[in-house]
Amino acid sequence: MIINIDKLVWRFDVSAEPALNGVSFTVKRGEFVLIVGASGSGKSTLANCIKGIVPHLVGGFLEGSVEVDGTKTVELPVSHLSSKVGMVFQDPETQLCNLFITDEIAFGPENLKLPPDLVRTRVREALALVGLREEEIDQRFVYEVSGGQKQRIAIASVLAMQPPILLFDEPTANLDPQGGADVIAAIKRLHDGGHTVLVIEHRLDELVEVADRMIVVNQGRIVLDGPPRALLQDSAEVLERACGVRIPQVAALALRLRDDFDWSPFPLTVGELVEQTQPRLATLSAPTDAAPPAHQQAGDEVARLEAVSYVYPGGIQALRGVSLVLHRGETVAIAGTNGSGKTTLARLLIGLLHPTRGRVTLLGKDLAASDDQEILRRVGYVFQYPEHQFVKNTVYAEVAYGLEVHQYDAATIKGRTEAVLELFGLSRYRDRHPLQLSGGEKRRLSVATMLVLEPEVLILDEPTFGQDADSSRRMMEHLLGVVRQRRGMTTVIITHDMELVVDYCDRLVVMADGDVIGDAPPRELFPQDDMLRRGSLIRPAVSEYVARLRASGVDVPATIARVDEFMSWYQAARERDAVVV
Amino acid sequence: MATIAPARRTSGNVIQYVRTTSALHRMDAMSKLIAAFGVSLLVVLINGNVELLALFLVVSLGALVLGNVPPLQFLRGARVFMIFGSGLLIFQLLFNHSGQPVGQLGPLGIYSGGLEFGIKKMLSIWVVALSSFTFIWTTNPRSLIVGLVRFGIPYRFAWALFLVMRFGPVFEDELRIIKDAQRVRGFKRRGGVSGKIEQYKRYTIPMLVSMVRKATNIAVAMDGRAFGAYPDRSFVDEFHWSRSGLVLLGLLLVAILVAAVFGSPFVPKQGEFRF
Repeated sequence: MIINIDKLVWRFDVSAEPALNGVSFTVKRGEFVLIVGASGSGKSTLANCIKGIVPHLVGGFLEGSVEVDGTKTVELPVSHLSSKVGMVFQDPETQLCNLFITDEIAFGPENLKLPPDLVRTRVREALALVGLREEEIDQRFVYEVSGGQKQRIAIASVLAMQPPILLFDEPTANLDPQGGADVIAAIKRLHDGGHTVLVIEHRLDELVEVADRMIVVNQGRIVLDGPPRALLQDSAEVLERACGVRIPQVAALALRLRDDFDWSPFPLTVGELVEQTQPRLATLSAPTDAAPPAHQQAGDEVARLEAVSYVYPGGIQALRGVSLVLHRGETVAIAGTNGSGKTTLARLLIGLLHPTRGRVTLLGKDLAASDDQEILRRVGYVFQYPEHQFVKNTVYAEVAYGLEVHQYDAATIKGRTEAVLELFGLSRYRDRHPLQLSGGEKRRLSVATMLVLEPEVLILDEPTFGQDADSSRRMMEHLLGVVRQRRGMTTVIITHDMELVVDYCDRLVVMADGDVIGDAPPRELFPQDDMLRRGSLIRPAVSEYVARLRASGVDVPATIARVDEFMSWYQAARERDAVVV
Repeated sequence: MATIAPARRTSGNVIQYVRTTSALHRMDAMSKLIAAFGVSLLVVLINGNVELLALFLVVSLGALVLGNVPPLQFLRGARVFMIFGSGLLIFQLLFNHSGQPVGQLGPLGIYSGGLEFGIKKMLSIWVVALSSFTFIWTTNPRSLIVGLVRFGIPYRFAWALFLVMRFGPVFEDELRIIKDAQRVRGFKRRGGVSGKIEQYKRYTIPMLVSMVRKATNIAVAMDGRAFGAYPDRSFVDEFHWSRSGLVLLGLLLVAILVAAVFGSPFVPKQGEFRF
């Protein structure tokens, strides 16, 4: 056994309740283990115990033992454990500490005092393992490459130390879908090469098929441990309801179809699902023209970008002649490769930046000639990090601040502030300092500070950035539910979550290299392979499934993108067939 | 095999290594570091404003021509220290009434002592700041670490300096985002001392939160890759003195000796104003 954890209990200094409570398990050399659970369940703490960050760098109380590759973690400092366990974190920005990429990868081996020639060899080998070539990255700064490439560089920097165990803590959380897929492909290659791999992840879709085991953590305890296929087939309800695990779309669809299909094996990939369902679906003789789901009717124009270009002071051209119109009441997603110009576009929309060329009109006024305060009263903008926007010492004052700045009367300020605090579940924290809130609460507060002004346009710049997929999705569902109640508000969301886009957005604007390469309802864009590839996007698994079924002759509507939509079509088609018979 | 997009130009941060080729870029880091200190020493030794102005022009030309620093980057950097240096000049004009009256600016009397000393302070700041900026613009921080360690500085200390240079631009970006974020909230910058204090207070707390978060993550990531596991470490690259660096140091040494031994030929007499 390469990892042996025995009756592990860990309690943080600041907490009365243990974060881990009697955890015991072993991992065999070469195994691929997926660790899943809701936010705050203790899975990241568990990873930190394996890496030795707990207890060496974090204060608290430890019982039991953690042994990696024959060594108890309490006996060696983190720096010495690094040749046994390599760990890749969620945010690539804060784990790259060098300027040039090759220096970053050489950093670990140099710290181990390896001779320069051997370090160079290790750098070359590590780059090859993550699919990067040395000549490509020579003389490149670490912050110049895309998020997915940064994360692969972070993996290479760990691999260069040749640890037998690799730990990944939500390695794809901040990446665009294609970047995430590239990182997962790299992790799979490493496992094939013999590494013991442990991955903490919320996006399970691409990982469940390769993992040997899935360990489910809930409230500091291991509640399930077994092959992902078996757990998803037999314990999906426990996983979803009790443990807050998001079931992958393929598995969710397979569970809904289980009365009609004898799965062998239970499908975890789109390929397996197509293979087992295509023969029967192809016999359904009644093609149906499913009406695309009703979307918000386009209202009046609220914003217009006309041939807008923007060049940053250092010379980076972020936008190249972008034209775009936003309508009242629309929910518009902007997606695309990291660095494609999404944030620049959003900042131009609110007048934080002014176009180098072209014109931006907002609510009927040319932004170049508009009053800042008037725009800010009518347009809300939520930044990636909520705490950047906090200016007051209590949650109540924070929400009331915008109304005070715009000189509303005292009764309106009180009424609106209390209503919004209630709406976002923040009333009980009204006297707390904003920085004392949890990550999700801070995010809700930052949105509340904008919504209290009842803006006509609300812009959310990567609102899920830096948060785990599960809690960020719940937050977005809550937020967009609130937004929907406010008819007439135009919402612009910069996001990579295509399932969220399908569920809540009327339009998807896809950007690449500073230009808009796609602009249509999401379902109309999903079949366009080339556009998705250029925008580093991957369609949701149900869309992929539908596309493959159509390619194999099943007449299923191309616009289907959700599990419930597919089930509606399937049941209708089956019933019609029964009537025909 | 994935490919990486071609290199982009810099993001326009003021305090950032400029990746290009130039005589100063090819020069070894330690010569440039010593030269930056040497220029500061020269500033202390020089009394005349003409010499200080000449020194400022020499360093400017060095940055632009020998360092190939983009003029826009140079001007954005210069703006920072020119504003600060000019503040010192204004302070002297307001409060230093030594020497002879040399003019009138509205209700304000300008005196030779205040003007002369103010210009000296302003030019001194300009020269010292510009030589430091030129060092940062033209020195790969990595080669600085290698040089410092070669001279016996413990690598942990050298790395601390490196991290300042590495993450300076990151925090510069962060401050810009925080300013924008608070502008969106309707926060208006006010003038006066109390306005400035309010402004700094509002920027400081989010900046501290951000810096602590980043610093913690970076420290854990560095520890996780064996940083500090041993008292020393290896480097794939080695330090070598460059010929151009030695020539620069030689010239600077001569200038320092001349300034120290002969002083400035333009030292003004008591009560006399000389630019």
